[in-house]
Amino acid sequence: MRCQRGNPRKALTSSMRDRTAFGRPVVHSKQYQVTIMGWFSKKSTNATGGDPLAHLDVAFIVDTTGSMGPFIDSARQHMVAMLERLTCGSTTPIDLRTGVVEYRDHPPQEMSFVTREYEFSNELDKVQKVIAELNADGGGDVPEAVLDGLHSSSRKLEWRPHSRRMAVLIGDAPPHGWRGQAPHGACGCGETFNTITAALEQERIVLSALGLTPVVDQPFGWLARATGGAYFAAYQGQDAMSALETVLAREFADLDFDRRVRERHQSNPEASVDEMAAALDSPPGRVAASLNRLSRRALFTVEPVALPVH
Amino acid sequence: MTARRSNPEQDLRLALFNSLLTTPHRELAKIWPLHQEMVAKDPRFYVRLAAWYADHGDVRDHKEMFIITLVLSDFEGHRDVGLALLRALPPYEVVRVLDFISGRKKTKKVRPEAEKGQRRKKAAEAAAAEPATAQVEEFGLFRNPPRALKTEITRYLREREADAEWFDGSVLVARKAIKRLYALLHVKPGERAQRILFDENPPEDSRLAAMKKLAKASTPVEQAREIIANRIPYRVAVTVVQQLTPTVLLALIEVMSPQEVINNLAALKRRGAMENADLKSLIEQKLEAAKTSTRVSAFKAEEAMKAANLSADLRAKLEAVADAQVKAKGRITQPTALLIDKSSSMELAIELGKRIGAMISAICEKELYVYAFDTMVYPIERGGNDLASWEKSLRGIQAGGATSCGVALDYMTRKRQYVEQIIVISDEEENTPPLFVEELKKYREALPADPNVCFVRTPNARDHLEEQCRKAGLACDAFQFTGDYYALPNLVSLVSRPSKLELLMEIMDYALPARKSA
Repeated sequence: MRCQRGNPRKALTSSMRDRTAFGRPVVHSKQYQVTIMGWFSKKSTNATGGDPLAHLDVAFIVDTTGSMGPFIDSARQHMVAMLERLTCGSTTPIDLRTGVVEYRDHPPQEMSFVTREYEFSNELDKVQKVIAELNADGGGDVPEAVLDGLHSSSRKLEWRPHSRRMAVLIGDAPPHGWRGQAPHGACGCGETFNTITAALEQERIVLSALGLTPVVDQPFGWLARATGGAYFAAYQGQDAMSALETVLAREFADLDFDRRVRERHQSNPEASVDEMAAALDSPPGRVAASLNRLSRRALFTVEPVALPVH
Repeated sequence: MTARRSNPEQDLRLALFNSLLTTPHRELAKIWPLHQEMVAKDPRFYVRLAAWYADHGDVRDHKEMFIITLVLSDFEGHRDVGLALLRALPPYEVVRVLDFISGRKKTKKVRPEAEKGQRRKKAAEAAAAEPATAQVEEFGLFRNPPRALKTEITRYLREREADAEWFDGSVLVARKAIKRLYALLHVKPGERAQRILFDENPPEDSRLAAMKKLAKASTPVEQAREIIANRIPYRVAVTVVQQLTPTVLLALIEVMSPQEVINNLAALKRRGAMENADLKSLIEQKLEAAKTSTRVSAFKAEEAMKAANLSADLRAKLEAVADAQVKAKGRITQPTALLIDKSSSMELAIELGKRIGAMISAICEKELYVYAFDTMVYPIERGGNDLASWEKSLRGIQAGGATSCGVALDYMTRKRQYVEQIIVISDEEENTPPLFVEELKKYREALPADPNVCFVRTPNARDHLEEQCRKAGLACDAFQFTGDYYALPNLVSLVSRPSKLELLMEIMDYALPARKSA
């Protein structure tokens, strides 16, 4: 379902303006419902008829310790701007859900919570409300429970089985398990840089990281690169958004063709790439790229058979 | 087993090798500092590498940069080699060399960008109201070209002037560049050159005059006759011939070089060349010739396939061209294992990884074991021994899973698969056991074997595995590939040698070209 009237970009932008003061957000639920339907609707998967091809899950993992006090507004702005670009910048109807994980630190440095998860939602007003209510407090010493936040995002959030999965880490302090210029030891939760990036890779979650202070350049960069994502310093916020858009463009720009490839594959799973290319009157490279996209998200399997190692 | 430690000299050479695996796309300033450093620190190696690259390299930007650096170098003998290499360049590249040294300014008119959120029409109106500002872009070093360079370019031009056929051919495809050479260096053109380039009055017997006749020719037969008789290139002829009938196309394809045919396949298809049996047959002949032509870019054929939706038989021909060209770059003549990282973090690089993998597999003449890996190992079956077969075999591989770089070695140890070389294509973001270095140690002891290890790193990769190997005292080479398909064949030259040391020795023994006396 496409938008009924008005320009969704304009509608969203104007309502964003209402909330950029970062008090409690002014939420225009009704307006969203009418104007943005198709990109970010009140009802789930309206835009694409539930087709998993168009599923996009984005999780924001945010440091909300006291040291984030001066940066929390900036973090909120980055998140809202990204949402805006994701919802309105896309030329194809994407079925987007957004989740949030906030993390602080382990006791005794922080007694309130280590992580708090807000489940994925496709209701923009709900997500905005969560973002607006993020409150910086506590934390104690410098390293924070970043790895816990990442662990929660991969294990506790309910990612849709075939969605394109992206996580955005935003923080100002390095994680436990990092010393000097390299990972060292484990976090209090038992996770190390290796185990957590392995978990993210296994779950097909690509992590992008936005560092609000220079001290996180190395650890956040390490984490992001190890999952195939990228790190951006706070002043590179625009670059981070462009990078997200590039990923989306690569993933969703050829949705119709991907659908045709999927149908062709379903009707004849044994067909080779060349046969499919001939049937679809398209270059084999394009078909192969489409098959890769589809199989990466487990929409079907063309994986070669793995050998037993042990 | 010898442990090889890196030293600053090796690091510098490696940095230079890695720079050859980039594609600067005419932004020579990006690679200038590295060449400067290299020529200052290792001048004897640098000059040999320049000569070697002129014959074996694929990226024009690098060839030009070697010449620029040598021409400006104070080291004895460098300038002569640089000028000797310059003589082999086509005119448009000579101009690029000269422009980079003498510097060039380019003025662009820029209008202010629309504000974010502004409507397109309003933005256009606002932009039109604002006066355009001139933006000057500077390119090059802004130095006086050495006198020897001027002398050499003068000889270069005189050599062409002396051969009317050669001169006309050069002017047909590079008129602007040749005029610029005369003008920039204040070289007085010969009488014939003056008439052709500056007086717009080419002699009757010249190919430039034939161009005028071609433009006036009224029938396809006349047009075809002019094209064949004067070998007027396709890209020039299409600018003056109104309608490309099959007769004219036949003549044009006849005078095309194999590379031109490959570059223009999509255009030829659009003009109906593939529906005509005679034209198609001629195109196929040209593609056959492209296999052995030394002036064909290896992966251009594959790019042409992407651009034009060609029939299966033509695709097969193009695949054969790419295969022959890649194999002409080098062969791997020792038992080899090729390990391709397919973990999630390789998502952006997996297509490049597969392409490199197919290319390396296709040039391997001895036992070859190809595995993709994440935390499991996936054997890649050999479909054939050509590039296209390997590309097909690797198509099913997609990025996913965590990264265990040692898992394939573990499997090879169990299977007792003996190799003398291990090539790993990876971003080196290892995070899950079995770890590469541990498994490499076990492999070397269990078989026993002492394989050379070569890491081919994808863009934005870390040097984690290389560092771990060095810490463990294990010899390894590493190349960072950040270019595109233009630079891919360069990789063959680097990995096809048994070790980097042999490659260095080959380069150090490479004969230097001598400068022509006149």
